[in-house]
Amino acid sequence: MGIFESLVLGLSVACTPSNLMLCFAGCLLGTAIGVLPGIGPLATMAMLLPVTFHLSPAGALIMLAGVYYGAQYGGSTTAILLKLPGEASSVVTCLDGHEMALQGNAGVALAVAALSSLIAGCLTTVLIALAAPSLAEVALAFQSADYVAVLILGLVAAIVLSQGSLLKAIAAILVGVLLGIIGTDVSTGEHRLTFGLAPLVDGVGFVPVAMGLFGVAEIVSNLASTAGHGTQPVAVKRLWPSRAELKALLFPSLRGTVVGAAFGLLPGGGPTIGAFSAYSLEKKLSATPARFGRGALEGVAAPEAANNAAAQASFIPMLSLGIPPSALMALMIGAMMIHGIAPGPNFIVKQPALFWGLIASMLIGNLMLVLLNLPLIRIWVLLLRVPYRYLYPSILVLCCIGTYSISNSAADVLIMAVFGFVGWFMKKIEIEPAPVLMGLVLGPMLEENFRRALAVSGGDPIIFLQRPISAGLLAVSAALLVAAALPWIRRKRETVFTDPL
Amino acid sequence: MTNSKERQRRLHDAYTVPGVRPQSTQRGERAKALEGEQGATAAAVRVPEFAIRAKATRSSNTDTVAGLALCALALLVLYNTRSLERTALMGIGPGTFPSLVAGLLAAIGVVLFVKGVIRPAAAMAFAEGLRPALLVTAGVALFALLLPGLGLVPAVFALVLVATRSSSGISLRLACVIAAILAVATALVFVAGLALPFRLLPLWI
Repeated sequence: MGIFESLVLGLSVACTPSNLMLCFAGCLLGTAIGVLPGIGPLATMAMLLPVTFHLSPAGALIMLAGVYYGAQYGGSTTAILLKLPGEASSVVTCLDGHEMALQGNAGVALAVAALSSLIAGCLTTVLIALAAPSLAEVALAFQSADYVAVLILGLVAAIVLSQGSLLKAIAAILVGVLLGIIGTDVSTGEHRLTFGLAPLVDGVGFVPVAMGLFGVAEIVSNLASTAGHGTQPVAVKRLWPSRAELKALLFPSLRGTVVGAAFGLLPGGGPTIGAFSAYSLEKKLSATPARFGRGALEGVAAPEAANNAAAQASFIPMLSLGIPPSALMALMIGAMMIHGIAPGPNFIVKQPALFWGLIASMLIGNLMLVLLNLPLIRIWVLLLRVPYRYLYPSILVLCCIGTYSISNSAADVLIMAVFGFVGWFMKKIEIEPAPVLMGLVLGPMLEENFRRALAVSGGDPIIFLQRPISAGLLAVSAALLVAAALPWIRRKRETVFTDPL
Repeated sequence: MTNSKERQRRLHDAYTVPGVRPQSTQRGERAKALEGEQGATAAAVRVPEFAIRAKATRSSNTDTVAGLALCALALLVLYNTRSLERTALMGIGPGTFPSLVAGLLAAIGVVLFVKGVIRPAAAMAFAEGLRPALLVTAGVALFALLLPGLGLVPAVFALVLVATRSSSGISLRLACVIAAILAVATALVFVAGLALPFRLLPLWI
């Protein structure tokens, strides 16, 4: 089946009236919640996940994809209007976006963000359609030992691409792996690290931990930094960019897309480092670098395109290998599992309608987002005018109800509370929380494949070096880790995140 | 290394007013803050939270505290998994992986601690934001504890009431009003609207 017929098949799935409605509802709800200060895409998706339980698998995935784009756009909106990024990847958008808003161009900044995300979204969708099926074919030959190597490469890349200290990033991953160990051991049935608590026997869920670390902890730090007053959003006047501005945003968006998509394929902080790098690149290429940080249009277009491209490119390893390269994709896998779909090399072959439907819905979702948000921007601004101290109680209630509804478990809400505090403490000791989630998701996969590989070889670890795929990937991981520790590369790695600021 | 120093300097600059002798003011405010925490009439002295910013010391900075916390976690894991088999006939036992990970974590903890002692990283501002952190998480925990027994409405009410104690802008009476509104609104949206399986009120009502 060629790409063209496949896309037609996908469009026929995505364009049924009910799926179009779901995509629309997802975008709308995602933006409405994502625009709340301090709620990033991850928390938004976790909150809305229960809503999709009763839908068909295709409908649920399409709606979640819509929620995701909406939430991401909502994050950019708060970044531009309030200088409050919902997640790390929209930090760069704040720099020039908020500056544009202060100069009276808030509407244009929002439109530029939407349009450059649209460009990036459409191009990356094509990339997914081309790359994912061929990667899946390669992955069909993978054995446990190779999966171990892929997972180790993923963890190493997540460490190398994370912000701040290398040691602390490794520590965060290991903490996540330990969290993944909690519960009943799959092969022996023994309880591990459960501390005799009944709810821990089934393990710690991904959503309560994510909601605690990103939802609750984020609310706490917003409260601490603004004392509950919040900041007032800037007024929005002119919305549609002029012809000259449209021209100016095209090439930065294209370059941002390329940079973002390249980073998005790698596990770890894809969207974040993509956005930061795209910004630096634009600043280097620009004839007038002094304008950056003072409301440069390219400074909004490039990072917005990059974080959207990266976020979407991370669907490729997720769909073809079944390995989530980011915390968000881990949530997506969780959602698919609930519907009995196991992403991996067989997914694309066995369920082409679902796979191509999802791809087609990405195109539709990106387009719908622009059509939906340009008229609704004024409503989001109204929502942002509500002082934060009146807003955060409702956000907390939403977090609690969302987490509870996933498996009707009060213990999950308790776990969320604990990780809310842990997340706050981790901020204090300057450990990034995102790698914890990577460890939590990849850890159990790693252990399972590790043990399976050793069972095949009769306990001989040489198997990891005998198979060419795993040996090659392990060599790449080792090289990456060594390179990241080299002084001059380490300095460069640190400046990627501090340069623009 | 220069980077962390640079960051520290920038952090320091951000919180000190130019023209004022930075070191002395910081110390003065810190002393005041400590007084406020320890004094018997704690309510009388209100120090703005950003003023409680301790100077980085060898014994307490983000690296040493992180190192200690990681070591403590690693020891807890090692102790808890001590009875699990570390080796098995075919491959590895259930205890191998946890002890491997915990061992690595302990090693990183030690390195971080030593690094922090030799070259203190950024200051540990533990008191900053502690109040919202405790109250918000306590509210969420209360929700979890009350929900199974008492139902959704009392749980939401309690959550909002406790969590709003963390911001000074909301009086107790206003908090009650917000809590009541949210409790009714969630009942309407999630139970009446989305038909989620929640019990609204305690059985005895």
